[in-house]
Amino acid sequence: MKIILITFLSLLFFNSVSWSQESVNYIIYYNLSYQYDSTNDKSHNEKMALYVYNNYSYFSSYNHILGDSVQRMIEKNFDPNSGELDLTKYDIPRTNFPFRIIKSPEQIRVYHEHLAIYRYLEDPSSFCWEIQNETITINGLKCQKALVTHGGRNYTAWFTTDIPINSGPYIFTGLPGLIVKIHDDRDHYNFTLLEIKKSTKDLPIEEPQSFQEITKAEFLKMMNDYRRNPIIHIKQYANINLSPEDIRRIKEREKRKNNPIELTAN
Amino acid sequence: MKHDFRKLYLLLIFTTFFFGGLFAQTVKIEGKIISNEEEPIYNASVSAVDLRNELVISYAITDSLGNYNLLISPTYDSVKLIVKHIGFRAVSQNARVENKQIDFSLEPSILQLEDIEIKANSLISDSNDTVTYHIDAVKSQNDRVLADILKKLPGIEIESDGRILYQGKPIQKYYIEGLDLLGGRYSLANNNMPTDAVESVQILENHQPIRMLDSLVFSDKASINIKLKDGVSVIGQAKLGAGFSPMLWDVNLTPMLFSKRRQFLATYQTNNIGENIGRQLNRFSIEELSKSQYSKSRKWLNIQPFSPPPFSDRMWLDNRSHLYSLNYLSRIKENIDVRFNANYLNEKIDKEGNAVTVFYTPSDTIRINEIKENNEDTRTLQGELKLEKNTSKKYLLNSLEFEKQWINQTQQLNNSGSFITQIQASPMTSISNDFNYLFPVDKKIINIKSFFSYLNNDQELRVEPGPFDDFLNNGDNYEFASQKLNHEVLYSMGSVNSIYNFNKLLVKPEVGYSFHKQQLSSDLIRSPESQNFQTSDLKNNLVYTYAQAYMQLGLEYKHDYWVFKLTTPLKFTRLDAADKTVERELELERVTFEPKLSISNRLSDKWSIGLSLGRSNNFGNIEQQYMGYILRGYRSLQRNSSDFQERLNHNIGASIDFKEPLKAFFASLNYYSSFTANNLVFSQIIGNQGETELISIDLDNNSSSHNLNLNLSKFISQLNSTLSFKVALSRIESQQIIGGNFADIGNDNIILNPSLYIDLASWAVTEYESTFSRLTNSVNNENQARVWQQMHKLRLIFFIGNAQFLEMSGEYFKNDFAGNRDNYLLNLGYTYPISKKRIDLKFSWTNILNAGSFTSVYNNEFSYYSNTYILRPSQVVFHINFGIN
Repeated sequence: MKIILITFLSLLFFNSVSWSQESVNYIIYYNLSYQYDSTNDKSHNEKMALYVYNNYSYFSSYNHILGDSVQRMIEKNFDPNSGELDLTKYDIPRTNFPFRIIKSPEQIRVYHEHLAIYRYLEDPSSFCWEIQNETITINGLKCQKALVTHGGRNYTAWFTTDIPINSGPYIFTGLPGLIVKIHDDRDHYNFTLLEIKKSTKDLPIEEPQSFQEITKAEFLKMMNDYRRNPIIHIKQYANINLSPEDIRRIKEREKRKNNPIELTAN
Repeated sequence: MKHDFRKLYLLLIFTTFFFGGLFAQTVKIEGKIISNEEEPIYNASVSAVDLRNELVISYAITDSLGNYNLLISPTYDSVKLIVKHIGFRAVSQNARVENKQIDFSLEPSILQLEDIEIKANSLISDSNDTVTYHIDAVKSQNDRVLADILKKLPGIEIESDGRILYQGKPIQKYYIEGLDLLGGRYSLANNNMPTDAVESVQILENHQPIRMLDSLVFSDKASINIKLKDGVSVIGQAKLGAGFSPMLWDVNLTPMLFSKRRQFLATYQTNNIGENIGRQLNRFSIEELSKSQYSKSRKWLNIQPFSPPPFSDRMWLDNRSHLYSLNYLSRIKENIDVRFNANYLNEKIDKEGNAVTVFYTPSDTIRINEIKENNEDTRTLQGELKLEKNTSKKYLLNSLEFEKQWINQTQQLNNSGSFITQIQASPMTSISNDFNYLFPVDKKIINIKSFFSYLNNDQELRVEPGPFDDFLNNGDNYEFASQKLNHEVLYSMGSVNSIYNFNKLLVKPEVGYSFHKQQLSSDLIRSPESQNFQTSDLKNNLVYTYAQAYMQLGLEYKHDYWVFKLTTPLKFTRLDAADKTVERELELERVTFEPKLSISNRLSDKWSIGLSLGRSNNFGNIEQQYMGYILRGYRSLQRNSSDFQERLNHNIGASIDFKEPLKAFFASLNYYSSFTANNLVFSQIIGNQGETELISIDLDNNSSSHNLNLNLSKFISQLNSTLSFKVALSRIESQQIIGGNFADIGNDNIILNPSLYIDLASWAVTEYESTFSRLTNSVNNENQARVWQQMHKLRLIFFIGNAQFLEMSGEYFKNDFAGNRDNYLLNLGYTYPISKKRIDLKFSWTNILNAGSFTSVYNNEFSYYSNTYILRPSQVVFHINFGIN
C-alpha cells in the first residue's frame, strides 16, 4: 500500500521542472523535534534543510531533498539490469513533514504532498515579530529572542544577526538574521540549527509545476478529513485487503498524528 | 488617469498625516540600499541596534527597489543602523532617532561564513548513509522478538506477511552481523530472535550490495544489519497450538546460533490446521524469478485436479505438513562468504469434491460428472550452495541449487457410475547454477550473466480400469493402462550488457543467447498387452532443440512531460524437433524483429494518458510437438503431430486516468487489444466418455481479445465511507475445430464489482465487497449458456483495549450453474496478549456454520467447469506463543 502511494507521489513530482539553476550559497540543516501526538510525550526527530540563495530560500525535509536527488539519479542512471523504469523498485526517502517551502520577502509558497501536490500561499508581512531584549549564546552565536504567533501556536525564536540570512526553518522568515532555534510554547515543534555548510556545487531546487492551488483553510480541512478516515482514503488508491493489524496500525498512526504544525488558518 | 493619481496622492498624504498624528511616538527612518554599481539591493536587513548592548530594537527588510522603512521608538536618543546582506559587506552608521532618510551603498563581498556545526546528543548515530539504533534505548517490556523492535524504529514497517519495509519500500538485504544468512527468507530470524540478544540495528541507506558498483551505480534501496551482543548466543522461539475436531496441532520450534564468522538457524514446524507452511520457503527477494522456468517440472500427466476455493487456506486445506529448514553461513576469508541452505517439506493433502464439465459443440453438448477423492503426498528437498566474492574491484557470485521432489498422488473417481483409480508418481531432480560477474573496462562496467539448469523428471500414471478401450484395445475391456514418461531439459542462457547516458537519451546495448534442449520419451503400456495396435503411435522419442541469439538496443527519451521508451530486439531463432521412432524431423529458422514502444504523458495534475504498442513472435513449445499418444489423464489422450506453431502477435493498449484528491474522486479507464495470427488450429476430438484427443491442423487462423476496465472511487465525507465501483468487460474471439467442424468461438465476460468501506468508529471498521459476473460462451455466434455468479463479503473488526482485537468475517457465494448452490461461510478470531510474560494467547474459530462444501465455476472457449470442494469442518484452535533464550 505504501509503495503505491509513494510511487504515486513520486510520479507527481517526477515532472517538476527545475526552478532555478542559481547556485546555492549555503545549506543550513535543522533538526525538527516534533510531537505529532499531543497526548504522548514521545518526540520524533527529522533532519530539515534550508537552501539559501541570494534572494530567496527553500526549506524542506532533508529526506525530500534526498528523494529528489534519487529521482534525478533514477532519471539519469536507472537500474542497468532492466530496461524498464519501474518506480516501485526504488526506495524514495520519506518524510513525516511533507512541506516544500519557497520563501522570498514578498511571498511564501507552501507546497504539500498528500496524495497530490497542493499549494497555498502565506504572506510574510503577516508575521508580526516582537523583538525581545533577551539573548542567549548558542554554539558561540549570540542570539536574540523574538516572538510570533502563527497557525494557532505561539513561537519563541532565537535569531542571530551574526549570520545575515533573513530566513529560518519552515515558513519562518523576515528577522534580520538567521533563526537558530524556534519552538512553540508547548514545545510540540522545535527546530534547532544543526549545521551550516558552504555549498560547493549547484543544487537546483525543483518547484512543482503541476499542483492544485487551494487556500490554507481548505488545506487544513482536507488534512483533517484524512486523519479522520485514513483507511478510506488509502483504499481509494489501492483496493487491497488490509489485515486487522494493518488497519489498526494505520488508524492508530493517523490518530496519533493529532497535532499538526498548522492548527488554524491564520 | 491623471485625475486618479491625484486622488491617490491626496489619500496618501491624508493617511500619512492621520497615522502620523496617531502614532506620534514612532519615528520613521527610511532610505534606499544600493550597491556600488547603483543597483538596488533586495532582501537586505537594516537593523537599528541599541548602542549599549547591540541588541536589535527594530529592523526592516528591503523590497525589490532597495527601499526600507524603519520604525523606531523615540525613547531612544540615537541608535546604530546596521545593514547586512549575504552578498555584500555589512555597513553601519550611528544615527539620531528622528524622521529622516538615510541611504546606504554596499560593496559586494565574497563573504564566507565559516561552516558551523552544532553538536547534539542522540540515540541515533549517523555516519554517512548508516543509521544506527541502539536497542536498549528503544526496548520496552512488551518487546519479545526482533520484529517488535524493528516496527518501532522510524521509517520501518513490517507487513503482515513478514516483509520489512523501510521508508515504504521493501528492504534489499537482511544481514545479521554483516552476513546474509537467509537470503530473503529473513522472517525466520526476525520473528524468532529474542530482543535480549540484539545490541543495535543498523539501517544502511542507499545500500549497494555489490561493492564494485558502490559510488558508481546509485542504489536507492536500504538494507538492515542486526548487530548482536558480544559472544556466541543460542537463541530462538517456540509456538504451540492445539484444537479440535478432530485432534489438531500446530508446532513451531526455531533454534539459532550466531557467532562472528559462522551463523546457523534451524526450524521445525508442523501442523494440520490448514496453515500453509510451505509458503515460508518463498523468498522476498525477486532476483531469480525468471530464470527458473526450465528448472521446474512440467505437468505432463495429471490426475483430475481441483481448483482451490478463493479464500483462506484455513477453510479448506486438509493437510498434515512438516517443514525442516537448516541454514548455515561461514565467512571463509575477508569478503568471501559461503552459504548453505537446506529445506525439506512434506505435505500430505487430502482433497474431496466433485466436478461438472460441459463441452459445447455445434452439434452436441457433453456433460461429465466426476466425484473425486485425492490423496496427495509431496516431499521436496532443496539445497543451495552460494559463494560470493564482493570486493571493490570485482564481483563474483556463484550459486548452485539442487532440488529433488517426489509427488505421489492417488485418486478415486466416480464418473457417472464408472469407478476409476488413478495413481501418479513423479520423481523429479533439478540442478541449476547461476553466475554473475562484473568487471570494469574504461570506467564502464561490463556485466556478464550466465545461467544453467538441468532437469530430469520421470512421470508415471496408472489408470484402472484401462481407459479408451475402443481406441486402445479394440473395444475390449482391459485391466489398466500405465503411461510412463521421462522429460529431460538442459537450459542455458547468457548475456552481456552495458549502459550509456547521453543527456536526455539513455542507451543500453545488450547481446545474449538462450538455449534449451529437451528430450521426451514416453510409452503407454496396457495390461494385458493388446496385439491389435501399432505400438509406435503410443511411443515418443522426441528431441526438441531451441536456440536463440539476440541483440537489442534499449532507448529511453524524456522531454517535458513526455516519456518515450523503445526496445528493439532483433532475434535469430532456430528450432528443431526430431523423433527417431517415427522418423520425422522438423526444422524452423526465423529472424524476428520484436519492437516495443510506450509513450506516456501527464497532461495535467488531474489527467494522465498512456499508450503502448508491441509486436512479438512465439513458436510454441514442446507440448505441441509430440507425435505419439500420451495418456495425460484418464479421459485425455493426446498427441500433436503438427508443424511448429507460429504466432505473430500485435497488441495495443491505452489508458486514461483522472484523479481529484481534494474531492477524493478517482477514475481510470484502460483498454487493451491483442491480435494473433496463428498457423495452426487445434482440434479437440471428444469421445463418448468425454475423452478428448487434441490434434492440430495446418490452417491459418486469427484470434483476438479486447478488454475494457473502468474503475471509479469516491469518498463520501458525511458517511465516513468510500464507495468504489469497477466494471470489467472482455471479449475473446478465436477459431477452433470442434467435433470435426471449424467454429468461431466467442467468449464474453462482464464483471461488476461494487465495494464499500466504512470507518464506523475509532474502535471498529467494516468492509463490504460484492462481485457479480456473467460469463457467456458462443459457438458460431450462437450462445451456448450463461453463468451468473455473485459473491458478497462482509468483514467487521473491533479493537478492544490495548492490543486485543476481534475479527468477524462472513461470505456468501451463489451461482446458477450445476444446481444453484448457495454457500455461507463465517469465521471468528480473537487475540489476547499477556505482554509482561511475552506470551500471546490466540483463539480462532473457523467455518462456524460448518459449511460442507464450496462450488465455483470457470469457463473457457468451449467448455464450462464447475468445481465443488469439500471444506474443513467447523474447528477451534488455541495458540500460545513464547520465546526461548
